[in-house]
Amino acid sequence: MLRLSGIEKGILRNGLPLKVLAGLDLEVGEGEFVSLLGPSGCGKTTLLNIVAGLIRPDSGRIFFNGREVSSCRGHVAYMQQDDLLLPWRTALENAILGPELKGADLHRARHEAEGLFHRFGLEGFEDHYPAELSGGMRQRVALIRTLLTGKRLFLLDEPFGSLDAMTRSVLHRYLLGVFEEFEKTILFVTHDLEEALLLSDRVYLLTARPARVKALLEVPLPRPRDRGEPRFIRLERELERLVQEELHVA
Amino acid sequence: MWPKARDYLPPLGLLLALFGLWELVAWRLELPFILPAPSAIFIRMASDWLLLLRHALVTLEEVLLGLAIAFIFGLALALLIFHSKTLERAIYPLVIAVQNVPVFAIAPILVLWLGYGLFSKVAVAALIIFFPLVVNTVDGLRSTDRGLVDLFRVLEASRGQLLLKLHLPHALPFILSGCKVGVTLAVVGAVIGEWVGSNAGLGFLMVQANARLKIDLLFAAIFWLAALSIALFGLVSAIERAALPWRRVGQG
Repeated sequence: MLRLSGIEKGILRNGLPLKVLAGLDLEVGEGEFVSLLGPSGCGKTTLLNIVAGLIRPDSGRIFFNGREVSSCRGHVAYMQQDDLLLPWRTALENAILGPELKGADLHRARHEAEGLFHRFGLEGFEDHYPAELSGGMRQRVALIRTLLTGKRLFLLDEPFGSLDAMTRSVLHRYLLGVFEEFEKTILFVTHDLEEALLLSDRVYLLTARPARVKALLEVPLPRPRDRGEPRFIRLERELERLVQEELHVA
Repeated sequence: MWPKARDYLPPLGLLLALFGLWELVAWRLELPFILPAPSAIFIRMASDWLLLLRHALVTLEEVLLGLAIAFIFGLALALLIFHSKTLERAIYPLVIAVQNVPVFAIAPILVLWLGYGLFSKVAVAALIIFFPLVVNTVDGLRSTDRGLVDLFRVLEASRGQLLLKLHLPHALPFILSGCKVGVTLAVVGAVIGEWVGSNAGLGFLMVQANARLKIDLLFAAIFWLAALSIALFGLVSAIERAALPWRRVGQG
């Protein structure tokens, strides 16, 4: 569904050129949940911004369903660590931003959003402003907004990074529910090893800056996953070892 | 919604105490042409209420027209500055520079050009608030979160949508707080215009009363001005509360 080949990107920091991405190749198949795991600041967000079409790569190509979409926008839904809710809109009005900007049928969008609010345990909070909601609730509203864009491919940039462990595991459940029921394809960025293993079909481990793919790990376990299960622990150790190796090199 | 007794009783008490003190001093001094007693001022306000009201309405009209003109042109200029880097580089430094020219200094010129009637006062009132309003609005438009702009870009928002659904709602609190400051400044501007040359308005009445040694009427006009200013400020605050319901939540 999504294929990146040879993505390179450099930026200027303090007037000096700095290579962020050094020839990155990766593939996300239809209906797959793929995680990008890498140390903080290794350029994961830059990569998602490139896929979303917000910034241009210096070189390399992006294919979406076989069509080249380098520096095009509108083929993905993007959810970030910051919930990015508009403070002047109620939760429900925030959720339907995508359909509203597209000029779609607002009545239907509202109806759909109400269903999702109910399902995500946000019933009764439709008319609350973001300032009245907890971090976990705001992130759920952001997830509903992402879902209502109607895109097949989700880019998620550490969406649960600022939440506490309990809230985070609740949101993992919601996310996996959405992923399976609505047949979405997800490219998920995280620096949390366990989160990557709990959620994804495949994990790309990136090197420290400049980022390249260091390893690709398959996670052939059924969901929901149990972090105490021997197979899970074995994969975690394997991944841990690779991460440590990378930290020593860097 | 309404302030609690705990909030408004202390300032009200202090105000009454100050008036009491003033009254005592005025009675002791017995100089009604320099410092009339509050009681004398209130009597004058009651006996000449129609005169005061008539002039107050003139000043109010100047202030409201000035506000409306400054608001429309200020918003337009702010949008131009926000949308074009070239215009920004050309206009913005001038805006800041012109802001530092005292309106007092140009009021006589405006009266010379626009005459003794309504328009010169409207122009002074509009000028005095125009630049703070532009600067506030530009600041508001510019301070939109980068992440929100990216969100709208990923959702393929048009330029118009970006402006109407993101930048303007974001800037609205800045615009309204600009109006709040502006409305009291506009009263000052209108009165300056009336002092320089006019045939009606509270400023005109003050100059007249002063010349005829009707100092109690002069003070009565000042009280009216203060009341007008406070009322307008309250009105803009009420508009602000109604327009920004989301700002009240989360503050308890």
